[in-house]
Amino acid sequence: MKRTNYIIILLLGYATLTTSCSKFLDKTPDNQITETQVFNSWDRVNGEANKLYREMRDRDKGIVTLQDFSIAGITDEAKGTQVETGTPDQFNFGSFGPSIGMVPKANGIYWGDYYGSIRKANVFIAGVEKYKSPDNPLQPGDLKNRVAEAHFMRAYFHWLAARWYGDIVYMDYVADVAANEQFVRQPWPDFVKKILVDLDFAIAQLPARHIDQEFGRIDKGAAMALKAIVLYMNASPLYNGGKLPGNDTRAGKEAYASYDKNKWKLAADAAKAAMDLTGAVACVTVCTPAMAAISRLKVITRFMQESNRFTSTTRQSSLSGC
Amino acid sequence: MKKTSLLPSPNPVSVIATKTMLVMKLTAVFLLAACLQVSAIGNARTISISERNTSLEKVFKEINRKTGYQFFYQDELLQLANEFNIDIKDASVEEVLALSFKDQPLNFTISDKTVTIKRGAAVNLPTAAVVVPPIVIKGRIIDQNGKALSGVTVSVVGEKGGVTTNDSGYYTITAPDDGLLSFTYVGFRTETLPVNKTATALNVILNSAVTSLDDVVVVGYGSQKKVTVVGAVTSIGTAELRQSPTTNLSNALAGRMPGLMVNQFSGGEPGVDLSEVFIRGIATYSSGAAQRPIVIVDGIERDFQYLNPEEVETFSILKDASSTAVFGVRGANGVILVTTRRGRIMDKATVTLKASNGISSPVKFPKYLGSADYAMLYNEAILNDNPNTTKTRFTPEQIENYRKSKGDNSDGLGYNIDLFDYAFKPSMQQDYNLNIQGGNKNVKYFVMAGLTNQNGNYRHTDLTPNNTNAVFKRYNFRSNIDINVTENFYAKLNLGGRIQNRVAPGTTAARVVNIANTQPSIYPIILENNDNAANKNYIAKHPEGLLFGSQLYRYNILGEIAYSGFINEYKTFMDGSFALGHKLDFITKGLTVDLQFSYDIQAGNTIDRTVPHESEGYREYGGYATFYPQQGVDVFMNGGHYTGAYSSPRRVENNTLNNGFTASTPAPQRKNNIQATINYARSFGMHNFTGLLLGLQQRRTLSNEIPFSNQGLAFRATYNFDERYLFEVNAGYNGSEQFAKGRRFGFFPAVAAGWVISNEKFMKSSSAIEYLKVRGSYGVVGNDMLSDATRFRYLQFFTVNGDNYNIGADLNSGVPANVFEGLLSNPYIKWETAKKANIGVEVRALRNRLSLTADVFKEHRYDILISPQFDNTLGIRNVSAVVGAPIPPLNQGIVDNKGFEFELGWTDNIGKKFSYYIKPNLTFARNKMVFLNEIDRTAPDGKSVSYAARTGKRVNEQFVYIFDHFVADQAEADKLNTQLYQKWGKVIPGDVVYKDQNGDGQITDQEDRIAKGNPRNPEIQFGIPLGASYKGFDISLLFQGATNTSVQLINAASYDFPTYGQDIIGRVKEAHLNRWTPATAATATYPAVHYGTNNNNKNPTSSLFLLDGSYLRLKSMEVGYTVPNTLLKRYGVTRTRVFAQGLNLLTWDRLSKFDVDPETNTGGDWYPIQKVFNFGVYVTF
Repeated sequence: MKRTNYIIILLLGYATLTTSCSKFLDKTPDNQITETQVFNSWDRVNGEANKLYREMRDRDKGIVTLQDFSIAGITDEAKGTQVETGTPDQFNFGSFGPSIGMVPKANGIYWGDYYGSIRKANVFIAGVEKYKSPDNPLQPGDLKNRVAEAHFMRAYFHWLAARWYGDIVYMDYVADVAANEQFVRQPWPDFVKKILVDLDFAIAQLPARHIDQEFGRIDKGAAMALKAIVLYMNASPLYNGGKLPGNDTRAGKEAYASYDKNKWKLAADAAKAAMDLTGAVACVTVCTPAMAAISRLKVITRFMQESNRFTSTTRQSSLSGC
Repeated sequence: MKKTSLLPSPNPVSVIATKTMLVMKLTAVFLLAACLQVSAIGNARTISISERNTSLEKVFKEINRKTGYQFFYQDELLQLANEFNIDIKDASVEEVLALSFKDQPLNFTISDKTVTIKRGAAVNLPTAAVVVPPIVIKGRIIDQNGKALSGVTVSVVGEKGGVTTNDSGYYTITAPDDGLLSFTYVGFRTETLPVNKTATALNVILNSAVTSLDDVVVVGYGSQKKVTVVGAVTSIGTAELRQSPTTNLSNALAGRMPGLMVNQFSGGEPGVDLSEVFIRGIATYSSGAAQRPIVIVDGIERDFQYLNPEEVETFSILKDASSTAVFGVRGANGVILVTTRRGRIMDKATVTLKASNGISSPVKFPKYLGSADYAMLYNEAILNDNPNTTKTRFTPEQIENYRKSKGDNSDGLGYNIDLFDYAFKPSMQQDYNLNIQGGNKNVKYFVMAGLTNQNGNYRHTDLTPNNTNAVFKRYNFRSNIDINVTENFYAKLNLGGRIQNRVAPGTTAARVVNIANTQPSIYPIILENNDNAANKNYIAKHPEGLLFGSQLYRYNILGEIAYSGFINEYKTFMDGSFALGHKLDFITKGLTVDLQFSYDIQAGNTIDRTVPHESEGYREYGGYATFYPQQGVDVFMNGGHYTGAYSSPRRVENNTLNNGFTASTPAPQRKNNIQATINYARSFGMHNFTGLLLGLQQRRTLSNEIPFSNQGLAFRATYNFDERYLFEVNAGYNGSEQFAKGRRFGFFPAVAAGWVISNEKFMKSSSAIEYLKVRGSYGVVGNDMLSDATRFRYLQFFTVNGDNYNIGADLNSGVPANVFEGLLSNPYIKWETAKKANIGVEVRALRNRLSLTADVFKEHRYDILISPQFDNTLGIRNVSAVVGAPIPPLNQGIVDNKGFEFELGWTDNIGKKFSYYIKPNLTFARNKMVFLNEIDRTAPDGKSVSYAARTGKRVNEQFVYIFDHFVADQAEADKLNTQLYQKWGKVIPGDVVYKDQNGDGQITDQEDRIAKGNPRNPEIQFGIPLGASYKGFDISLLFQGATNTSVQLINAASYDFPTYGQDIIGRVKEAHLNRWTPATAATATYPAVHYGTNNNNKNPTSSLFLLDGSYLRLKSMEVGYTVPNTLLKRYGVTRTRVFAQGLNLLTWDRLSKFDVDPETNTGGDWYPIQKVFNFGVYVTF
């Protein structure tokens, strides 16, 4: 072969290698979905919004808040137990704390848990806006509802956290880990201002009633009720003219010392507004008897279904046990 | 490297490129014809030359220029030529040539103005055919140390047969004049030398395969002459690896090489025993693969552990930046380079057969106290736990009975069973290997087949139709072939394969060891067949005996070994490479190109015929029937024979065997690798250049994971002046798919320089130092072996799962509630980077008897990924919880690692027949975690407890509570208990009191543990290989040790009555006899005993159990005898060597207190490493 032949072959080889090289490492996981894929699909967006309802369930566990126990054991109502790792008892003995480590079984009610849920709401709200996510093609308007529901959820998670931790930061945006941001506890009035923005948004956007298939979702009445509760907390002596015994470390303690009668007025108005809402499911006394009956029926039906399911599964399991 | 040159013709026509030698010759003839015609005018008939110290080449050029004569020769032939003086006027070409060739080992023929140069002495009559009578050559063969080599095969190339040297290394052989003699000796490089009647005395120095200065050293993607190497590289060869009779090559490395740190902490279970290998310690706190060096076998990243030592040619480690920079982003932890054996040019093939047979047994099992002492301490422990206890205790008579009992209760005095004796026995291992090596100038080959068989150590495995004996079998085969298609064009095919077959009982080794470690000796293994009518049914169903097992002691050791079925595991590995190369001398001399394609596959295939275990809550029971006395297991505390009924904790019949199958151990994997290499090597006078440019693409597909891909370039340029001043630049530019586009590729350069002082003129006269070189390197290398959890972490993913939430008026109207943001990404994620500096010195002195290689090194590793997400024992700072998500892994960590290493050798002989060597090496490496973004270490009272900080400490530093004293009396105990001094419950006299480091009157986890001792991985490792030979006998020993290592013993390894499996309570050791009692308070070394869990005394971070793990082992020993060849010669045998070997023969350590092996893991469920005695033979045909 001639020298030129060699050179041609080498050049060809070089060319094929370099063209195949540039794409060689362009591999990304095809079994994972990205932000773009999520927010450009109604089903994914809906799934993400509904996830907030599951979060809601985990952030307020009612009678199993301290894993196996209610919070009664850590109040004056009852005595903490020592069985099943005795979570209420550990709380009473001061075993909850950053230096000791949190009791693992009481998960769901820690500071970080609430902010984890809040972040999910924020990621959803920000993503829908950024990607101009598509509405439900079969039922237009759902997207608007989901966004409003997410605003309610954001307010609700903050309220749950505030019940435990007092003055907290209101996060109405997705915090960037790369940003060098310092978080400090906000005085309660700032907190109330922000939570009311979210609730008023939800009240404005949400329907008074959902159709049957959407029964159980947050509606206008629920948002108004939460607003009433928040304003009621705002008017209580804790933030309105009362005084904590001992060393008060609250961020806005100076502001809470003065009494403002108008706060009670705001609370009362909000409660009244909630009760006066016509067509709402939440109000079972004020709305028309027919509507109330329908709502009650739905609740009771669901309740019976749940209870039947429970008894039938128990029966089955006891049968299989024999 | 054979090549044929055609001197430049005076004619301007220049076309020379050939496919074959034949074509070339033809071309040359045509050319010759052409140029003769054209340039005939310029041809003179006579020549005048006058030169001093000239070379043949110069003379040829002169003749060619003046007469147009053409010369054919092989370059290497001219290297044999001597310089000479010539002074001749008006002579013919023939006359000039005759004069030039007078004292040369070459001759020439002239045909039609073409001169062809051949081997052989000058013949003055070029055309005459002279019958040359054979000549007798005599001489002596020695090695580079001057030691006579006996048994060297001396043969005439091209003829059958040959002779061997005698004990003093002398030989006599009849050879044709101008013939070639070949000198072959196992472990040495074969020499081929010409002979003629003017030189009938031929003494030869054979160079051993590794240590010669003229020899080549394998470096990354190439090889270099040892004298010119400026990186920190160490190699060993087949000979050393062969000395350790182990089935896993990684277990043969400890103590062999400076810079290599080897620990066998994972235990010695046959088939799964392997050592962890680090180069110069650990320089990152990323764990697992991120700390380990990469392994390159024949140019490709592959596993070396299960190669057969017989197929390994060299095993090298690359330690500094200069030697690893070509591996770029993968080289920061050092590189292990393994090359497999290849064929050689020999006149006939060498067939070597190895057969060996050995006995292996665990190096030691810990000693536990027998039933009598157990009973005594038991009584004490339960009284300590509760002075008013109502639990059954042993009677003093029974304790006495135990001392007298035989152990199996045949005498009715109670059981005293040693479960290690019961369950384990020495086992046999075999190793057979056949390899054939050979070749000529066209084809070279090495083919090998090997079988290794290692039986397990369990007894009682033949009690069921399905023999559960553990067996590990490995079949290795290899075929490495080199083909020279033409002088310039070559091809290589490497095929290496292995099958590993492991049969093991359906239990795990850890569980069997754990049972033996913990089951009290007072319980039987098989219950006595009493005549109680209630047991009739059971006994009838279980003729093999009723296995003991209770609600507490749920496993039966015999049940686990014999009645839990078996697994049969096959692992198949096949590695293949095909390479083509061509010399590109026509572009520029010294240039070659090489293209290699590799395809490796592995697959698993496991048949699982185990008996399924059964669970009940957290408890797990064996799948075989077990029984215990209905009256309770306390009946065994009384001795005598139980006559009552038995009952079963779980089941009265044996489960049937599973028939599971899995094809995923190891996970199926395929790997393609393409490498294109351009090499350049040329010398201009005293200026020597080499260059390398390599492009690489590799894709590894493991199961269903996204393929792991690498791509990059490697570059190397070296220059040296007269092998005195050495300069080298290495660089890697490479990346992988796990980083964001645009951030994938890193550039990793390194520079190095060396000065061979001994090659300077002023040193040549020195008689004391034969060789002296100083070298240094500095450069940057990377480490991209991030954990799986960090793969693709530059991308933000969303998680989708199967969750629902019920919405709607109807039941089961669940809507998907299943999408949420995944773990936070770090778009800037990148590799770890290491800046490494190295300075080394190499010396040979005192007639090459003394040798020293010493290096100091310093490494600064930064951009280490840190993440508090998965494990935060280091206290890495997180973002505020308000962010709502944990911080992603960030490239923030910094670790410094520095140390030194050396190898000091002395080799000499006493008289002519006795020679010996000793070659100790030592490595010290200490790291320091410089930065890990740690939280502030402050106690709840606000005071700083900076001593608790991990920053500034070593990787895996041990933080422990410091033992202060034993509680002296009840008064002190009461005081401590009221004070809540220790948080693990009430203390009693004799319990451990820890030191309150921060003086807050309480012992707390973070504030009162301080750094003590050393990390588990030793900072200092050393090896002392030594040996001697006398006549046919040889002996080699390897002592190996480690220090600056601490081991925290927990659970069964050190505790009294340890708890395991949630509620099972174990045994006691001799150390526990020195426990605290009121009477022994002054001399006690162990706290008061407690039955079961007692986190105060038996604490996993107590300094009481942090022990010095230093040790020295006689790691391996080999005695060999080379049988005089006269005995077996007529069967075609050229060499026979018989040998006896031992592995892990003796150990000295500081752990006698708890009687565990120094390479143990911490917990006591460790399968001890193996001690092996092995006997075998090598026969070479």
